Amino acid sequence: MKPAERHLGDDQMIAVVVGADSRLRRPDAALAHLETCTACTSRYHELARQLTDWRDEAQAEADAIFTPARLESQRAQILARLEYAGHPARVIKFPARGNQSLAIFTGTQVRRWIAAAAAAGLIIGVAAGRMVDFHPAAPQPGVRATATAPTAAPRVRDTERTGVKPGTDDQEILLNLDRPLYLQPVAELEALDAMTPKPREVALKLR
Amino acid sequence: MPDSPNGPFKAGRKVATPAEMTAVGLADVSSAIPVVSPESRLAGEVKHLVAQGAMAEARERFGLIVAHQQRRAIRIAYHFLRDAADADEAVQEAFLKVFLHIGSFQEDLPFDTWFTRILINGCLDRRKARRRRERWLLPAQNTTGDDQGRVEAVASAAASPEAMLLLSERRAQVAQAIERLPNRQRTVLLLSLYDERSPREVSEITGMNQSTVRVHLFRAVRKMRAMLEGSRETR
Repeated sequence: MKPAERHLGDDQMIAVVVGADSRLRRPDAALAHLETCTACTSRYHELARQLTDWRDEAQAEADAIFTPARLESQRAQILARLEYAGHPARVIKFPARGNQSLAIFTGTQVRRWIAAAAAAGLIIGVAAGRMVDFHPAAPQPGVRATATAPTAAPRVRDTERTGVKPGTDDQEILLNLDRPLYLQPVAELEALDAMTPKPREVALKLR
Repeated sequence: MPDSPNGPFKAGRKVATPAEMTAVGLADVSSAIPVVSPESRLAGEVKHLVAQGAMAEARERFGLIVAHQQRRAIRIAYHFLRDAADADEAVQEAFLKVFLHIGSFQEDLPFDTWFTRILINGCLDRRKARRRRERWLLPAQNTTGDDQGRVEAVASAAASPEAMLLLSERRAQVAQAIERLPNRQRTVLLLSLYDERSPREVSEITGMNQSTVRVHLFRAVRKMRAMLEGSRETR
C-alpha cells in the first residue's frame, strides 16, 4: 500500500473531524483517502456520532434539571435583581450606644487608653511619693543628711536624730525608722502601740 | 452511509470534497456574511434605552434577551460547574453583569460572544473558589438528590432499567472525563462540542487564535476517548 493510501490512525481521524489540520502531515491526502476508503469513512462517522452522542446526552441531562418552569423562575429572579441593580445599598447604622461602647475597643484606642493609664499612674505615684516622705533620713550616697527635711506628718522625725549614715544597710535603715517611735512616742499612736505585741514578748510566749 | 442534515459535528472547517463531508456540517463559517442576530439587535436597543434613562423599558427588552440565551447559558454553566445551584447563580450573575455594563457593548460584534465570554469567566472564577473551599471542607455532591432524581426520571421514561443504568453510568463517566481535562481544553470542548461553536467563535470568546483552539479541541477529544476507553476496560 502506498503511503497515501494507508488508513488513517485514531489521531488523524480526530484531527480530520475537529479540523485540526496542524495535526495532520498532509491534510489534503487524508481527505482524499476518506473519499475512497469506506472503512475509514465508516470510522469517521462513528467518531462523529460519538461526539454527537456526548453532546446530546449532556444537553438532555441539563434540560432534565433546568425545566421550563425552573427557567421561568430564574428569569423572574434575574429581572427582580435588575430592578435593584446599580442602586447603592442602604446603610443601617448600629445603635448609638453600642457604637460608642464598641468604639473604645478598637486597636489604636486601646493602646492610647493603656498609655494614658500608665502615665496617670506614674504621675500619681510620683506625687504621692513627694507628699509622703517615707525616708526622711535617707540621704543620697556620699552626702550626709544634715538638713532637716520638711515633712507633713508630725511623727516623721529629723534625719539627724535617726543618724542614718551613708552606706548603712537596709536592716539598719528599717530599725532606724522605728527608733523615733521609741525615743519620742507619739501620743496618737500610744494606744495602738500598747495593743501591738513586741517581738520580745512574742518570743517569750513561744518558749 | 448516514446523512444527517444538521451534521453530527460541526468543526467550522472548510472542506472542498465529498458530499458526506459537507453533510456532516464541516462548513466554513468564517467566510459567511455576518448577520446581526436578534440578541445583538435587542442588546443595542437596551443600550440606548439605558443611556436615555428608560430603565423599565430597558429591563423589559433585556428580559427577551434572557429568554433567548437562558437555556444555552445554563447548559454551558452546568457542564462547567456540575452543580445546578452554582450554574443557576453563575448564569444569573452573568446576565446581571451584562445589563450593568451594557454601555460597553459594541453593537457591531455578536452579543452572544460577549455574553458567553462573561459567563465562562464567571464559571472559571467559581471553579477556582470551589477548589479553594474544597481544600478545607468535604466536597459536596455534584448534583443534589432532587436534581439527580429528575435526570433519572426523564431517562427512565423511555428506557428499561438496564438501559437507564447504562445511560446514567455513561453520563457520569463523560462528566468525570471532562472534569479531568485541563481548563483550556475543557473550555474549548464545551464551547465547540456542547455549544456547537465554530473555532472562530471559540477564538473570539476565549481570546485564543483559531489554530490553538483546534489543537486544544484535538487534545481534549483524544484524552476523553482514552479516558472513556480506559474506564470501559476496567469494568
